Amino acid sequence: MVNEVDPSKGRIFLVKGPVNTALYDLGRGEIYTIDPLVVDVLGGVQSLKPSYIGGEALQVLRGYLARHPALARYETSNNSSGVHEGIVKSLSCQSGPARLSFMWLELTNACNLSCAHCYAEAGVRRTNELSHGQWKEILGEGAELGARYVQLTGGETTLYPGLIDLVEYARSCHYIGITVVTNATRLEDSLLRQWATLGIEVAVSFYSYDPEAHDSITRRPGSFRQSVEGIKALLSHQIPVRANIVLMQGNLTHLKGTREFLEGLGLKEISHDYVRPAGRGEVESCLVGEGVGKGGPELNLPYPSEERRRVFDERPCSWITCWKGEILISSEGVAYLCIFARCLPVGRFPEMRLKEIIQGQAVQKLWQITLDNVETCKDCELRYGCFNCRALALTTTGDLLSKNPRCQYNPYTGLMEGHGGKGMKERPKTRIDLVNETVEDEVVIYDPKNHNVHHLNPMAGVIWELCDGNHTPKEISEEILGILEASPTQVEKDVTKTLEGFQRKGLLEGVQE
Amino acid sequence: MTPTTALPTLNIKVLSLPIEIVTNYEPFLREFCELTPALVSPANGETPVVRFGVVQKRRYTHIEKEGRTIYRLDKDYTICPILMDEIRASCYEHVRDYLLLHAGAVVKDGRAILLPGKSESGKTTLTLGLMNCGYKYLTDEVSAIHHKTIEVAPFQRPIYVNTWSRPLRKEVNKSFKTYRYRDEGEDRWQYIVPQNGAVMPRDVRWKVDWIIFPRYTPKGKVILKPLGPAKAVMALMQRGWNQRLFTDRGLKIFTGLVRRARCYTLEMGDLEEACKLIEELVGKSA
Repeated sequence: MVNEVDPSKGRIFLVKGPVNTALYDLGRGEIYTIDPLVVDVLGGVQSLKPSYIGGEALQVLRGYLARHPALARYETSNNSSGVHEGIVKSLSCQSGPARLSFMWLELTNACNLSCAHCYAEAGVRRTNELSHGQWKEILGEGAELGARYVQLTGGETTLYPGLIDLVEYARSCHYIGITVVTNATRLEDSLLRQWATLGIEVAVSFYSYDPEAHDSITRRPGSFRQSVEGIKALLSHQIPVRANIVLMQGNLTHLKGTREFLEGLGLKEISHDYVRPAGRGEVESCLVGEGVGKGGPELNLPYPSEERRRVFDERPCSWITCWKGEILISSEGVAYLCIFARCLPVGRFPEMRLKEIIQGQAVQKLWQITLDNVETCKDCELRYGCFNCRALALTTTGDLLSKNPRCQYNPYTGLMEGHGGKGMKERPKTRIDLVNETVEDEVVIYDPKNHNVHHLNPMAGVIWELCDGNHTPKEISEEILGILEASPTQVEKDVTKTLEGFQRKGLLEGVQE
Repeated sequence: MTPTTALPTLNIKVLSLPIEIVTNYEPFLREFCELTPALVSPANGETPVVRFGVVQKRRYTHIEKEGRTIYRLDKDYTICPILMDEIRASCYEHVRDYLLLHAGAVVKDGRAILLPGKSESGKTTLTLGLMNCGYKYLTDEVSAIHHKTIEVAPFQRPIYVNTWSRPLRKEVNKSFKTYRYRDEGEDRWQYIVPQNGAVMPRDVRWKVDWIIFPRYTPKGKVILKPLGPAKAVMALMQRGWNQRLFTDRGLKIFTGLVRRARCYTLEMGDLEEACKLIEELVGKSA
């Protein structure tokens, strides 16, 4: 349920979840998770809206949060209120076909490195790669369809002979953001002088401050030195450069050091991501293990640069999948929605023209996925401010509409998963910090961690009493059968269901990991 | 804010919370005293725990808390309501001998009815309706349950009524003073303030015999249904304002409250009929 608190200003929204409620303060670009008990205070303010508070409802809300920090559980700041401006738009209208805004073009599969995680599995040039003329056609058609940003990638883009011509052509098609992705190992001075005049942005992949670790990931000795020299040369030609660090087994602990190292070189824009299970990244992502990259809801913008922010602003908000408005064309002409979504082709050029691909049902449907379509997230109060990467869900879980596998927030308990461990113990035991009272055979449980209250019927109350760490679920069923005439199968089924309910609500101690 | 002896200072107490209000704005002071005769009592020299300032600076009135401006208001009619809200919120933070519950409460013949519910569930309306049936006003919003005796104490803030619920005041008028608050467009709001005849003694607490959870169902039926005790405890827990200050004792207080009372839910499509049902219920058990 979404309540607009102050429609005259359209700046504050309350979104109710199963346990918590989130307050979206669009004016400040912030999201607060509000204590359930305060929701009524805010509700009271709302109900008084036509009265004395009027336009000052906003001030009152902010007042409550600012002066009673205990009332707001935690606050997640967002770097850009622009995105949240979008929330309003997306809440109010989402109709008509979506437009193309951004294209990745993988010009070639040829690469002088052989990075352990490469999503494109780049290495040698493929025999059926698109021709130079075909890339120009794609650029032209993309511009006609509304694309204003293009990222030329590979393989290694400097191995594509027509790169400069293609960039010039993209300029003539009025693309306002052109990015060239490179490993920066083979940047000659003459090339850089040309790039400097073309007004492009360069994106460099970098892995570690430790030459050995970097080279072991690129699988080419000396690539660290070459990339560092390349970055320095790019900066000396005053070409805007950003770097992305992909974290995997070989550099998992190097993030801080690598950031500092790159900052020392003069780079200002540095992002990072954990290896994704796509291309050669599938093996690497298995090696890093399940827990890596997991955390709370991803409420921060993934792309901090001004240029990218403009791209992002064209999407209504992060609630809508991040691949909306985007298309990737591989070196062989296969279209995907994202570099990570290679298991989901949506067309092939030139058999299908770009317009047919973009306006086809597949792309249009996949572009429109919002967190309202996603399991669990659809009930989460933070969904309108959360990053919605469907490729991550698809490649990690195999389910396009599953919850972000890195998000550990459980909206149904209001807690982070892993609270009390993962999975149920062999002999379930109730959490020691819970408070419970029995009233006429029924049990009321108070959870002081999240102030939730639970109510158990008499039978669930008996099961609750037996969750003492000494009984297995089977033994609990046997105890129940001793006091209740019922079929053993049914009782076992009911006990399992009840225990699962306790577990889901975070009432049991978990297995120690 | 730097309190100076030159400025008028109000030292008051709301429940057990001593509060100081310093102001240089006479009209506010007058209005505040007119609105809160039943809510506040003299602090009797107790050191204030919370300090507010209402300071007129150029064309704005600043509401300050502990010396820090928390509101800057340009409309006079907003000062008292916002300050009263702040006082209420301060009670949630500091009052430790009362468990504060989002509930209305009325009393008759020494027996209290608690009306817990969330905003717009009909607490104020039902409170007014029952007052028309001879019940005395304890609160329409914050029921203060004493942590030891588990009895309800008055929190008699002025009742804020709008055009639609105004007819309900017809009987209440005798012991409540109507205070026209603001007329803006079609929304007409008034405060009705308990006067001497309606002010309940602040040091007397009342045993709660009935807990009725109202739910306003426009044009629906009036249905009064018993509520299981565990569910009632759960519903009360969800309506607590400051239960976290009591940690595990909060559950015990609510359980105690439910054990001593009879609990019902009330679907309230028609106020008169709803009040009649409650009267019958109370009459039967008497």
